[in-house]
Amino acid sequence: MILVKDLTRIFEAGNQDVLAVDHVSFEVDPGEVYGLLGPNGAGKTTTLRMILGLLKPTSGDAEVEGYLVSSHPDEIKRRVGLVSTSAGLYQWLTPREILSFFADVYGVHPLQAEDRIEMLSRLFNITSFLDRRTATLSTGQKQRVNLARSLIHNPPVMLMDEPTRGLDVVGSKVIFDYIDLLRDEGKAVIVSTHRLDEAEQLCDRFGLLHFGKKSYEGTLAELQQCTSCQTLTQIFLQLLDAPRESVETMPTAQEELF
Amino acid sequence: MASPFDQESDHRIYTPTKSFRFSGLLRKELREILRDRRTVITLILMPLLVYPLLGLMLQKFFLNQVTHLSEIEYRIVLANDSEGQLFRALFTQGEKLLSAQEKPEQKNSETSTAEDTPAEDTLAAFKQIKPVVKIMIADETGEDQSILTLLREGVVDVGIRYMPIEIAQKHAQEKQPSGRFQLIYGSDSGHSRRAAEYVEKRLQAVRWNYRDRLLTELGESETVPFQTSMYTVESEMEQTTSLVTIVPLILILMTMTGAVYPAIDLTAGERERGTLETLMAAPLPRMWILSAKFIAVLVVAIMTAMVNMTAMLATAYANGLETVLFGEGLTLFVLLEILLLLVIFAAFFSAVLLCITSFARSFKEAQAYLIPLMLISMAPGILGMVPDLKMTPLWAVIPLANIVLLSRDFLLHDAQPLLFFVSVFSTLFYGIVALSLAARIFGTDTILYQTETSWSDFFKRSRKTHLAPALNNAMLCLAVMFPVFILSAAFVSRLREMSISLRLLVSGSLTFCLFLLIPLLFARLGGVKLKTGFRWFRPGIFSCLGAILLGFTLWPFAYEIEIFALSDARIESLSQLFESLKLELAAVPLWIKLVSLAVLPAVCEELFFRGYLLSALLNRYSSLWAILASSFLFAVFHVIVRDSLFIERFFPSFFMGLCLGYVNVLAHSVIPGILLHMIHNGLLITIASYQDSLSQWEINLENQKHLPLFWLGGSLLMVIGGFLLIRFSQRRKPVSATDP
Repeated sequence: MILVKDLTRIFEAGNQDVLAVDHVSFEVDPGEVYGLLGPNGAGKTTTLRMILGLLKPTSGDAEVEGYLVSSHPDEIKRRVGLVSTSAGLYQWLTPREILSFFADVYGVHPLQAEDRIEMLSRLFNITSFLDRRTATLSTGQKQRVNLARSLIHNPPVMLMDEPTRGLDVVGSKVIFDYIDLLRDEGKAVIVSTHRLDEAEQLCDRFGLLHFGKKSYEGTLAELQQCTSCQTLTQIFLQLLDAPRESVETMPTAQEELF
Repeated sequence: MASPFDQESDHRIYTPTKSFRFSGLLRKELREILRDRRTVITLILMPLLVYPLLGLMLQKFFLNQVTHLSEIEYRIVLANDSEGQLFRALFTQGEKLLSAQEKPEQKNSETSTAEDTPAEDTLAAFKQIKPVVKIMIADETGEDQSILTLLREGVVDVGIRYMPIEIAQKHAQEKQPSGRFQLIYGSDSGHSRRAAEYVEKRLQAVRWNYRDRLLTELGESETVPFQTSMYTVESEMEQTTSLVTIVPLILILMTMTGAVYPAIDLTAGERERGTLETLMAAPLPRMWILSAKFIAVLVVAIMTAMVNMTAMLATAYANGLETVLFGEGLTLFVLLEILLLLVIFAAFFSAVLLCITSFARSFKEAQAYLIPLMLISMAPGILGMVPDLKMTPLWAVIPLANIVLLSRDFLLHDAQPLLFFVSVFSTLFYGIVALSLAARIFGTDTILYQTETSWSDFFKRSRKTHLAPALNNAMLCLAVMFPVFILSAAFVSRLREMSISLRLLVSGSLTFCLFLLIPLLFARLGGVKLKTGFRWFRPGIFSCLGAILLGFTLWPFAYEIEIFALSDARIESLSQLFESLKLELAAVPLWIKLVSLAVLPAVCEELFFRGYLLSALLNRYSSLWAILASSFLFAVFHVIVRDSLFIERFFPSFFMGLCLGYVNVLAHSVIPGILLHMIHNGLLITIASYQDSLSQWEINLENQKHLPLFWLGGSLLMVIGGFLLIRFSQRRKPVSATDP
């Protein structure tokens, strides 16, 4: 479903070239939740943006349902939903207006759109404030509207960028349920996070990014076997302790440019 | 949890065609911006508050003037009491005489003042005000001093000295007292002067009455040589004193304020709130998103303009100030014309705003960019308020000033259709340029994500080397060169006291600095390899031969095109200009003329326009568009000569630009173009220097005659031959784009 091939992105920051993502490749199948893990600045968000076509890769390509992002960016955008904590809502519109606007933008038939808004608002429990201006909503309510928004066109692929950042336990629970739901429906999901405890619960397979390079990949059992560590956190700390040269050879990628 | 995917239909409900509606996008933008409290404030509240207040102030101002006028007081000072009594008697007598004269006239004029508007009332009131005259007696000690001192200190308006003269009268038996009144008034004060005139008029009446009586007594009353009377007509000068120019300026400023907030909010604001990324992640063309935003900003700007115009009109009518504000010629059609101008201006300004705010990453950053823009925009607008400023083609191409002047001319029913079209098209053209720039900037990943890039990055050297300059590098270079070019042209024209040879050399070296050093600097900053960036390749020998041939034979066509573009009147004014220049130029040695007008411009202009700029354009566009664009810019630079515009130079320069560009692309090198350009310019200069001997061949540049047909035919053959030679050279040596 999702095929990432040698994705590389170099940012030009001042006089320095910063290698944000370095030849990252992986595959995600339908019904699989893939965890893209790494410390801040490892290149997780950049990778997701390249898959969606928001950022042009310096080299490499990504493929969704047989479409290449380099040649068919719009086809990819139609098939991918994006959930990101940095995403905001139009504060002067109501959730209903926002949902129907995005239904329109993604080419959902107006009649179908109405049903879908109805169903998603029941699912995410937003019916009671569907016609209130979003500026008046709480963080949790806004989050649920955003989740509903990402599903309005029923995409087969979902990209989630740090979906639980800044959320409380209840908010995180909503996300967990949501991801379970996506898995049940056979969607290919990539979740980027640095919360390893959550990742252990959520993801079927992991890719560990460090300085833009993929260091490990596999299920938890495989990772445990190959690193002889028990938890993801231990694996992660071991990775961070490893000498830099063994991870990659490029100049400092201090902070992902975000 | 219920499943969101329990529909019977295809699990993928999106339609793969581009069937989404642009109107949906636009509706969202408009909803978002029109519901925003801040938009509503600038759109509705501001005009509702500002205009009634302004109206109130204006009316107060006029009322104040009227009440002020009704209390006119002329303070007159005399040296002593006896003089005061004498003056008072004469003054009262004069007053009576004058009022006896005026009475019958007043009766006639009373009927016509019945339907006067309030503004005219003010003027009428001004005429009918009767000043209060206060006669004072100065301090007895040092009378002369004290009168002058009182006047200087502004305590009194007129000082009067009386100088008695004892004259032995022929006819009278006894000695009759006579004398001279000297009226002294402050030279800087209009009020003081009016007071003196007022007094003089009354004294004069007494004097004339006395003279008339004497003449009548002598029986010579019929012998008065002539009489005068006064008659008034409405003069056009009165209109320029109304506030006609302020109206469009205020409307434009309000339109600008209306557009600023939506432009920032829909670009930088959306980026800051994190909604732009969601929008960019949708399958929408970037241009559509930008267009929707542009239309939304435009709609708000136009609404602001309309609300302001309505509020302004309503205030003016309510306060009876419409003639003062709009002049005499206000009709519905004029209002529509002004509205059209405002719409066009709003489109231009919205595009400029979007271009700038697309670059900004946050609300604050956008505001920081816009404040200088607003201040810069004020300048041409205020220039438009200079009284008696005539709308000229130059003003018509200056944004903002053209709209202000045009609106004023519409109100005065004085607009010229040609200048109207020039203004409208130039404004729209600038708008399109700004919008296309915005499209390049808006939503690019560097703007969306790279928070670290800043303006200072423009001045850092690229570490990579490029074969050709990037288009934005070349455009930025052009953007720097253009104002420097205009400044340097103005600078040279100021060096009048220098000899012409020296001036030519200065101008030549400025050309060198401008067209070579600035691109070199940009090439260094952009890490552009000089050889390839300036297309400095070794040309084929036949290419050079072909170019030399073209250099000798292209000028008749450029010359004919120039004559074709000239009107008869223009030819006359040019030949006058030419006449004065000819004498000056004749004294300059030929080598100086050749170096400063042929060699230097040829080398520098070719290296920039057909080297740096063309290679940047060829990097992005097809040869045809690259040549057209570079020729257009080449021609634009040639229209500016010293400190004035020579529009007619555009066409021959454009033609030469096309030929030089084609030669450059054919030969894959800048060098044949340099040869062609050098010979072309050199030949024209030489012809001008030896014109007398050439006139026998029926070439007369002064009279701008057409060239003989056989000349043109022969040249055409040679030109074709030249181009064929260059083509032939390339066929033989297909890989000529190698280093020399």
